Amino acid sequence: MRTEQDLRAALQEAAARAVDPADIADAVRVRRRRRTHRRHQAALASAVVVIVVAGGSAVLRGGGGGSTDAGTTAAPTTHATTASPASAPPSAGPAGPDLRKFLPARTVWPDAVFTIPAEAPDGSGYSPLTALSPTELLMIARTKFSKIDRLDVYDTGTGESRVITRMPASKKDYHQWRFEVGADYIGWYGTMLNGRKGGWADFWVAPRAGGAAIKVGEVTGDLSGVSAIGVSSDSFVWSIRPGGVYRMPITGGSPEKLAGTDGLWLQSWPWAVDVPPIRIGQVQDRNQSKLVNLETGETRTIIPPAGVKGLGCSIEWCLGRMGNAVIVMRPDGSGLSRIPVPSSYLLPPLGSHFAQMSGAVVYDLNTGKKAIVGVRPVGYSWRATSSSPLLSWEAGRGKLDVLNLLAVDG
Amino acid sequence: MDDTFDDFVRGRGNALFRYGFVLTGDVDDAADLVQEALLRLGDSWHRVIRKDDPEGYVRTIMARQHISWWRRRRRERLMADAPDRGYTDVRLDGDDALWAELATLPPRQRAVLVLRYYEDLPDAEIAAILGVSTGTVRSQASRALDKLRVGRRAALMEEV
Repeated sequence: MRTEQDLRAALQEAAARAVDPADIADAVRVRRRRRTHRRHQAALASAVVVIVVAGGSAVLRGGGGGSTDAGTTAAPTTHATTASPASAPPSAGPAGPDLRKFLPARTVWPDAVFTIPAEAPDGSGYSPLTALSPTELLMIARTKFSKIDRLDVYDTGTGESRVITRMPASKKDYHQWRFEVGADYIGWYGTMLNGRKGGWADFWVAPRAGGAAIKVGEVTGDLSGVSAIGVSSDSFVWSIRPGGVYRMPITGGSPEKLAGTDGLWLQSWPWAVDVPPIRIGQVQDRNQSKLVNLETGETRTIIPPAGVKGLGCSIEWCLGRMGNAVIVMRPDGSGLSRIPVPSSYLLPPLGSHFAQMSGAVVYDLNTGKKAIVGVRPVGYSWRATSSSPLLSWEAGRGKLDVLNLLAVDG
Repeated sequence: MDDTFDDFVRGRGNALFRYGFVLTGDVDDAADLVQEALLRLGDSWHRVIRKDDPEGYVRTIMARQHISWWRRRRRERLMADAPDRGYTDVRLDGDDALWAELATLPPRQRAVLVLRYYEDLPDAEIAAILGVSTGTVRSQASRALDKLRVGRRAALMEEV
């Protein structure tokens, strides 16, 4: 006779085996945008009707037709994200690339794709957060209730892992949102999932070499609306959603705004940019015009080529949209070229010189090589860190595949 | 909209997809379910983040949506007279057999089992999520558990 425990095990086993779809965040982003577009069309169509009626003309059908069209396409019928190899690539839209023509990352970069266990030796669930070196992966270990339990380093050379730090005990609704690796420390911040009136967040670091978590401090109000974090040699650094970069000494103390950071957002310490981070449901049309080094004060001015929208740059590369194409260039304007992979949206560059297009295509901006990540044209995992040089996806049967971009150049 | 919604989707998307997968038993349906629920969550993000628990909110939407979609899709599939998509490349033993039989349950019974045995929620909370009484949760769970045992015997008999 089966037991309730068997049922638990069957459900958990099935969930663990489910191959993650391509990035859900991107799929939701695209669907929100399509819907907004449709609403605009509908609004436009109604406006046409009004004008036409006011003008007493007989061209009413044009407006009416547009309206009907907008109405009938509003139903969510597409499987924008799916794990089925036969279905359309996620987020690429009708004119998206045929992902089947790309080679898998394992073929293109055989020394950079690793299959690792999806579970830590103690049975916690493993998700790779970022790569620390060509052989070291920083892993999040979760309890079965998806609560983050600790950070481990997994060595793809030896197959062994070691604990970096354990997450301090927290309330049920507490969630750590972002982790960022600095030279000496790994930092993270958390908030309560149920919200707290006025906002609240706490900041933590742990030594990168391993050791107990250190609480840096707590913030409330506007300062808790974190858009990005970083860790310098002596401070926890973060930017807030309306712009502005703040620091708090790791040894504790009050938040302090970094001078001259109005209208700047942290990208990856010590670099800040003058455009806010890309957000779901919004298309960034504004072009980035500078990169600011918050340690040295150095400012690099970026001149967007004519016709480019949404230009975003790290210190190595810029990505932007020109019509339906994606363009890349160096922040100084050199090396301007089109990426031959259509993409309906842009993500920030990945690692130092990679771009992720149409969800599942990874493009090496230095060499022009491209590959697909995931099991056939599907699936890669979320990024809880900025410009992580790592992508991972479910390999099935309790394994994960990891593309470590730090190992691509090795 | 703000960055916390973006972070929430990035951080919780895959866990929600897995929840959708155990609810529906189908990757396409799971992806649809989670995206639709997240779209709705996005629309009311500010309200939800202030008052409620977004994770609970989105999981509730998914459980309820699953039940109503299942009805609609079942009708569509019956009307389209579609051939069974039922093939599987996994060996049906142990957990796999139990997983396959979950597909024979009506959606509400399946949702009750998922909430109770995958989400580990108490019956009172399951009742609140599905908008039914605690008694209904108990009776649905009991019927579903009975059926899974009967279903297994039936499957074995069919194999002979």
